[in-house]
Amino acid sequence: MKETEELPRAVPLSAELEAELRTTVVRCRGPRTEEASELVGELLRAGKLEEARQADVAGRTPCGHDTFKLVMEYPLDGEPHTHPCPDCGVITTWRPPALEV
Amino acid sequence: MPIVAADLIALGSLNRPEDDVTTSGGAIDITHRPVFTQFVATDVVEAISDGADVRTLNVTGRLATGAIDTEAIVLTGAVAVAGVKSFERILKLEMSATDGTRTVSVREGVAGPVRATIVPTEQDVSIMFISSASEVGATTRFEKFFWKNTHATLALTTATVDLTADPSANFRFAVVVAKDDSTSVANRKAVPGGVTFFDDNNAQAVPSGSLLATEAIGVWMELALSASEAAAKSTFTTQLAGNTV
Repeated sequence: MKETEELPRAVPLSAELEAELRTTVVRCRGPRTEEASELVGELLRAGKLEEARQADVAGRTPCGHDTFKLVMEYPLDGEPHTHPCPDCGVITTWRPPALEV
Repeated sequence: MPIVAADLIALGSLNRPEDDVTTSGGAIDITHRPVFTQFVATDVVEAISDGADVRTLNVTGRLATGAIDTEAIVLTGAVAVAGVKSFERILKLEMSATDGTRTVSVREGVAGPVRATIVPTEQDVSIMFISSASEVGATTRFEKFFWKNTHATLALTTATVDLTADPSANFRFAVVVAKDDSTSVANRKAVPGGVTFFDDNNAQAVPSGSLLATEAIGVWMELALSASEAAAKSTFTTQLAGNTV
């Protein structure tokens, strides 16, 4: 995993690469409360997957940040990267396609 | 009638590797679901159909020793029949054939809770990432499933896919760039091209924003294991969400 202190991209992506990357829209789901995380864990351990899914959805504070803005600031190297969401601070991780290695 | 949750179904891909050398992904397999509830404790498998049914249920699972074993259970219609082998976990439940009307329920233990349901026209359920062990170095594997809108007429609009639970923090997902696709990779250690994988803190939109009636969207799953990671029996939960009229 590449660490968060890695320097972001110095030069913006070319329009061509950005278009190739932006195949879909990706939004940050926002942070989940500690209580909700504990509840989700308990439900998963009990095998109650649907209830866990509902608890996860209900336990988040919606954010909606365009995560691709982060992706485009890091190398498109096929390697995992991680960075806090600029809006809500939740740590997000991604693996971009290897487009410019 | 609007789209309801039961209209949105997770289905498998045609290539479901159980090793690191065979093809992974491909087109949708409408007879297979990568969904069931895992056994809570080591127990026998019991199966029951909802009517006349003499098909065979082929069970593959791990025994308490960790060894993979199989068992064939011949159905006796709507009378429950139990196997004799005790499984610590289930890997696959495969019917010998599809049936146009019969639903088979698979229970954990004799008269126990239903852990899997195989509905008419479908043939099997299984877990993903069977036999995906950690190695000396970090390891990533990629397998694929589909979300399908089975409603006959209505589109799921503003459709998004996300991971709603990843308790082991081992998984990432990527929505493919075209609906009803058939892309595959040479083996499950090969990275699918052209897609970006995200963790459970993100929701990824379906291409074009809507999943029309009978359309399906492929989703690649990434399982990332650290070097020499301890054995674990984990799960992930995903959802397809959207709007309906």
